[in-house]
Amino acid sequence: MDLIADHISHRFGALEVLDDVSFTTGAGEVVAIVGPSGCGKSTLLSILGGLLQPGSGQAKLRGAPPPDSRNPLTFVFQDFALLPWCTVEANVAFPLLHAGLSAAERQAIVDDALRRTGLADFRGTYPKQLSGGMRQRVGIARALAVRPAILLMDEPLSALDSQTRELLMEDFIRLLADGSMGAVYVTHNLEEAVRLADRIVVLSRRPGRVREVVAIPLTRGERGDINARGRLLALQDDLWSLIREEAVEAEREVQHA
Amino acid sequence: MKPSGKFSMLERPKTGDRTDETRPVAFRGAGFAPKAGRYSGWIALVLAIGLWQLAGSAGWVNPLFLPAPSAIAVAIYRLAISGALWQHLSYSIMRIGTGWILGTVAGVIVGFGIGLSSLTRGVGITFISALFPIPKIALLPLLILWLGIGEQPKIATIALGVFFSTAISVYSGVDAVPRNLIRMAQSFNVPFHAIVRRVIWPGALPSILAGFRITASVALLLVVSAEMIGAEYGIGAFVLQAGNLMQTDQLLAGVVILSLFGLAVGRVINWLETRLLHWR
Amino acid sequence: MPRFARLILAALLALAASSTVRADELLKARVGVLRLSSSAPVFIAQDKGYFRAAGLDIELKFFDAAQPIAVATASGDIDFGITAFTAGLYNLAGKGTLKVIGGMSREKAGYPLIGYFASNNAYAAGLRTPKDLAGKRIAVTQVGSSFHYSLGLLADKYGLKLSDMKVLPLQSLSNVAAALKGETVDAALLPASTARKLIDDGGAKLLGWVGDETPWQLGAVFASPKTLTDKPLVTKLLAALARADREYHDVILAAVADGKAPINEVTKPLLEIIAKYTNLPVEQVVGNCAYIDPDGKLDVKNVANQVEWLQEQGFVDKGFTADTIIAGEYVKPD
Repeated sequence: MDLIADHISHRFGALEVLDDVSFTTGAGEVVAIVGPSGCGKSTLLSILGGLLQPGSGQAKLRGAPPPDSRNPLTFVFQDFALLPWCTVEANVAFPLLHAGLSAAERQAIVDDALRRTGLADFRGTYPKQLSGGMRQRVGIARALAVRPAILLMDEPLSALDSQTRELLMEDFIRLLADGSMGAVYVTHNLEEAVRLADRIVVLSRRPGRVREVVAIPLTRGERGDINARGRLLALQDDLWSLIREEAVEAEREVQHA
Repeated sequence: MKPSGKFSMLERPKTGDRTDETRPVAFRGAGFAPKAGRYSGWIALVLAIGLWQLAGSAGWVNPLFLPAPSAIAVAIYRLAISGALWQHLSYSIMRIGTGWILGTVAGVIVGFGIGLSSLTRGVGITFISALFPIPKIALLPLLILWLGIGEQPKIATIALGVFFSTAISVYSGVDAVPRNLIRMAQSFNVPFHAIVRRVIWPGALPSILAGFRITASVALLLVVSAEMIGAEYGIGAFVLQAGNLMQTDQLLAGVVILSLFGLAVGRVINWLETRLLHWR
Repeated sequence: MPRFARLILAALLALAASSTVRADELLKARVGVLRLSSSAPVFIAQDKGYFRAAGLDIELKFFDAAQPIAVATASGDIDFGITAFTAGLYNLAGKGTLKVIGGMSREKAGYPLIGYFASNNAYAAGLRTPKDLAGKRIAVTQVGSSFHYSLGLLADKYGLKLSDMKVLPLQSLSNVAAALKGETVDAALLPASTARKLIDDGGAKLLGWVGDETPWQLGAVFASPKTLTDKPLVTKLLAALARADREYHDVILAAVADGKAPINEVTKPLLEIIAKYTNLPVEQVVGNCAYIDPDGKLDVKNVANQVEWLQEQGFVDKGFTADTIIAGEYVKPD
């Protein structure tokens, strides 16, 4: 199943945030969206996930989702969006409560998702007792439980410290390794983008337009190799030079706004 | 540092003698963290009552204007052994309980309506803003005309007072449920009724319980007004009669019973909060 | 703007007082009253300068209920109080915080003050005279109030049992009127002034007047023990009031027929004074003239009866009698 951004434009009142954005995320493909702050990355993701009506243009799906998918487009949120009154287990089970599953089926799915994210020992704890990294793991487990075709990840690591980020990045690489899930990965962190994405959509500063689409010429498996480090850094530098000037201007603009 | 005589703004000359002596850095972070002592409140209360009793026993104040605590205690004791206390209490509890439950149920429903539907919101907030500030005592003659002088107007007085506070605290509670949790639930295609039950209700619960704390006090305040309407029994009726007859010791006895009742209700709500909001 | 006007008047008086030597010798006192015609002599004495002529500088303090006057007298906020007897007042007096020094309004045949009223439904169902009140639901303002006592007197007169009547205290006159109009009680005791509108609108039916059934001493002049020690002050106040009592009696009360005072050139000046202080039109004042003894006498026997009755009902603390609360040296017994 492909997810298509088809000439999407959007404005909040007088503020134009997205201008004619188009791109396609193929099945199993990871597309990163990067750009200076305020360029409409998160807005774009909300539109793609059906949480926001675009001003013009459309988010479209092509092809059937995998038959076992209960929620083909599934979000992972920057702030985790966990229910604070539910345990880890109940948070992961939350999207399944109205999916017409028996209690035993649901339990099996939840157990599997908890195991895959290393949360099996934390099923009874509450979100406030967990570190940021563990909370985001709960968010990921919850997403995995509904077997998404495409994960919509909205800066999933930006609320975390750098060591936790590194650990979770490794988790992401592992989860996306088999190509059964695609992802749209919104980030302002270029390193995350080059490590994870097959293609990177670079947006201009507000109103966000597609400036460039950069393909990463290495498989995710190859990127783990020590010799690939240099190439990835070079790619990251290229991206930075694309963005830098606009980032400077965007920063000033944000301060004026 | 360069051994030059000139210093830039950020550079400072080295001053003082270098010695091997050390001295502790003075602690300057004291204060500004008041802690309520475990017993200080009770001790202050006991002292205040003791002083009050002393003022009464020593004849510093006219017992008519300020009956001594012992006189109030005697009045409560007499009330208790005559059995009238339980009669008064049971009537008042019945009225407070029924009125509070009716007002709360209606308030929660309207509060959720305002929090969830644009139409209800426009209409509801206008009506609540217009009607909330009306003193319920001013409505007593109308309530008597509409509902007579049986239990209905008494319960209605309490229910009305409770309703508005509850509706306001419920809809502000619903408004305060983090939007990201609702968007999360929507992103998983969770149906509307389940979002209300599993996200909005628990999310609004802290503010609803805080509202209960207020409405419980409102109900206690209003029981005195409610029992202005031809009540034979009830703590409020007892307080009113004592006031009318200038029996100040009985008046204060009734007030003490009301505040003890308030304390007990506060305890119940504390317990509810620890039970229901343990996740906080 | 009456308050503002009073302020200006007070300022002018103060100015006048400072310029005359005699004004300095006036005894100052504060008198608490209700804006009711049952305090008519007070208004007359003040308006026609009888207090001043007696060497007094009286400041009237207006209250809206009887009880606060008693409390304010006991606490020393006012020097004299003039209002109706209530259980609360007797409880204050029983503790020695105030004493009765003279009589004021009375329930007396031919002078309507408090009436018995029936709801329309109860009237239709056969409640036609005060005697029929046995076994009915009857609204009063408060337990131990003048209304409650009046009902007790009625019960005694006809050998009814008060315990058979369901007496409902509704705390305010407007609540009582609402209950009567709303048919939630069978009957109520109300002052003529409150009941007039109800009767005119057809909201209730008059059964009779308390004065016609059971005359009694409704109101009095009282003072705190501290004030009582100032004998010249008390004597002068009572003398000035007696002068006004006499005038009110001879001019207005003597002319009352069918419960109504005529409006003519003799009565008009006094009626206008009463109207001014009660904030009522003269036409309403004439139908609501409280009887007051021309010599300011007090029905001591009735006061004793009130105290006993209220003590019996448990509304007044036992342990004192009427004698202990009446200042015998000032009171002219009836």
